[in-house]
Amino acid sequence: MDFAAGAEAEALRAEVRAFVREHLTADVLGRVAATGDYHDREFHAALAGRGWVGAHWHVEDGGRGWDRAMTDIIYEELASAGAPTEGLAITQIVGEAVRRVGTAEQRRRLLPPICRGELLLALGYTEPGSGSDLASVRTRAARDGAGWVISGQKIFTTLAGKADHVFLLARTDPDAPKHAGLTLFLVPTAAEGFSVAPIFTLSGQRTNVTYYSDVRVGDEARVGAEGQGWEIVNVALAFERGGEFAAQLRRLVTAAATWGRGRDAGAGFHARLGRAAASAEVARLLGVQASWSRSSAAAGAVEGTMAKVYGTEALLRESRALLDATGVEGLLNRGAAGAAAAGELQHLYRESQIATIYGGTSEVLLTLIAQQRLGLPRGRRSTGA
Amino acid sequence: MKREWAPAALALRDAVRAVLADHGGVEIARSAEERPRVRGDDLRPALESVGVLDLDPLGDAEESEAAMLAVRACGAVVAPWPLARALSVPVEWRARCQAIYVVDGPVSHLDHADLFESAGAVPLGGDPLPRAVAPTGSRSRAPLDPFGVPVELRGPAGAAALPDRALLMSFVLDGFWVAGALETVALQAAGYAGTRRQFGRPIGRFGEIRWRLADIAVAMDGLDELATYTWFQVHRGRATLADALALRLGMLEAADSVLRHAHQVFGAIGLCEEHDLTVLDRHLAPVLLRPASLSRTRSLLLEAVNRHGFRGTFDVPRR
Repeated sequence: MDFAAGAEAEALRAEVRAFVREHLTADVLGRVAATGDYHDREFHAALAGRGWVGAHWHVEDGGRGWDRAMTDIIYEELASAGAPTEGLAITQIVGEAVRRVGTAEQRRRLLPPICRGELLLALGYTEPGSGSDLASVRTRAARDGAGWVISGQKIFTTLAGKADHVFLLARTDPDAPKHAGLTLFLVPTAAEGFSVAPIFTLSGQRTNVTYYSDVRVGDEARVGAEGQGWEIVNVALAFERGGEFAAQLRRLVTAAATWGRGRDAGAGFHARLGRAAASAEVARLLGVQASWSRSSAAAGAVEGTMAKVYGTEALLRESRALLDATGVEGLLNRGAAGAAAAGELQHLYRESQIATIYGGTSEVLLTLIAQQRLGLPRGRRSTGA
Repeated sequence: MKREWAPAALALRDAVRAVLADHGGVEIARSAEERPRVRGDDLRPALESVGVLDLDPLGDAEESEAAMLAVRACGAVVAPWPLARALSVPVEWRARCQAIYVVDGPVSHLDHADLFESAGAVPLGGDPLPRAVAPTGSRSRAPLDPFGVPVELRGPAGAAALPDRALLMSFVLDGFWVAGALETVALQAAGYAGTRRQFGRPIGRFGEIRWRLADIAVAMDGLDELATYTWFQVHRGRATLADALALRLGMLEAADSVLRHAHQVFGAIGLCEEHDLTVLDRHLAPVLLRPASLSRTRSLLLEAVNRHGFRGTFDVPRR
């Protein structure tokens, strides 16, 4: 047992911090704020230029064959600094699925461009009528000669306005049992019949509704076997859940601590800050456990789920508590004169509201933990997992 | 015990509801963020047309009840005109003062302060002589403080101190405003749970959602009862600052619970700007921090209980 990160990891951490100082400019942050997209083309290209996109993938896939812990450090440092990482995170989630179930041709065609920062992907699972009950998706993909015709609508397709493809969950067999008739496709956003409409959220972030009106794709767009969609989504969801919220908690604690220094913030504030710091540490450790478990047969699914539930609930709780402790000045926008903690706390508070919902609501995930971590039988409701 | 509101107060509440619905309900708040003139040009005349701006919360019981229910109806749609601040002004002051803000500690922004030519701020626990509120810039346009206006507090706004009852009533009016907003959240959450289907049935059939809805209902009813009881005590002159702060603490805790659970019931759709829940949440944020946050309210309550004692199920003598 050795929790020490090692000199190489520490050197990487320092390098990422220096990268952030150089590349996370006011221009980048301004573009992110103006568009609501937590992705910036220039910033992402600079990341890829360092070889930090998909760095833990095999060299033949365009990666560097690094240990996963190293890419966790990259993500942690970027997210802690408030860098736009959504494009990086989502594209890597889809890339993980392609690595596991994609054909050799798809791996060659997709993974190296991802690592070079040339390919941006979005997730297209959720529909207006299918949120927690993801297996009930109605978007239809029908065979059409050698290819497919896709029709339907997705919601919360974040970054769809910038992405090259949407990783789309569609029903290919309407007669099969609910979980069995689903297949995944990488739908090019340049395809005829594809369209996007923005939705702005409480955090100021942009997400989208995406429409698929008889979009024609070839069979090479299919990822995994026909009917295997549900299984793949669950593996990909496991990669979506992990320790990323520990970085947000670190950002929260850093912002609040900076505000608290040099003023008599009072014992109540200190108690809240201490609790937030402890939460950040537990969230980080659960994230480490999840990351370490990724190589297991179950891909660390339950460990990632636990890290996600803990991290998101803690983020919500601690951001609310710290915003309360800073008082009304905490409500002011980033950059506003007199804004407590430079407006970071109110921003993290608004961002945190969605965290306990996307990638699996806390209610659904707690049920999974009861089943998968504690061995309890399934309840009457199938969560589909 | 008589637990019914006066028929005249209920009738006025219904009139306020109707006029707010005619103007778009929650949509008024949404549109006022882009077009702030809506507040003074549309909403104020609408409220004036049903006579609520003349109400005296410290007048006779029926009039005071009407004031509470009118404020509650405004809170139900987070109406972007500060009726609670206007009704906090003692009637005999209204010719020269249009709004009273109770404040605590340094003040940099106040809600809707740009709407008034003459407003006063009264510090909690300090000199009860109102100080003049002077706007110093334009709205902050912060998502969580949509109508916060930068202000300076200047010299005395008049020669008289704000009467104790008026100061306490200011807290009661906030309590009713928030209670109205939380009722809207609760009704919408319960309605959504009945119609949103997942896993083949309405989500309201799942225990996880039912418990959240039950928590919402308990928090909302608890605040309603506390606000009503505190109004009763303040109106009859039996309350102290401890009672007003106890209501504020209950209000903050209820809001925390209701909003947290409602977000989880609505899921991602409730966090979209098009959804009323997001607007209600953002527009409630200022009143939950002004004049005092949850942690600050707890400290103030403790000080007030020590100073005044606290009469309740278990009487606490003053120290």
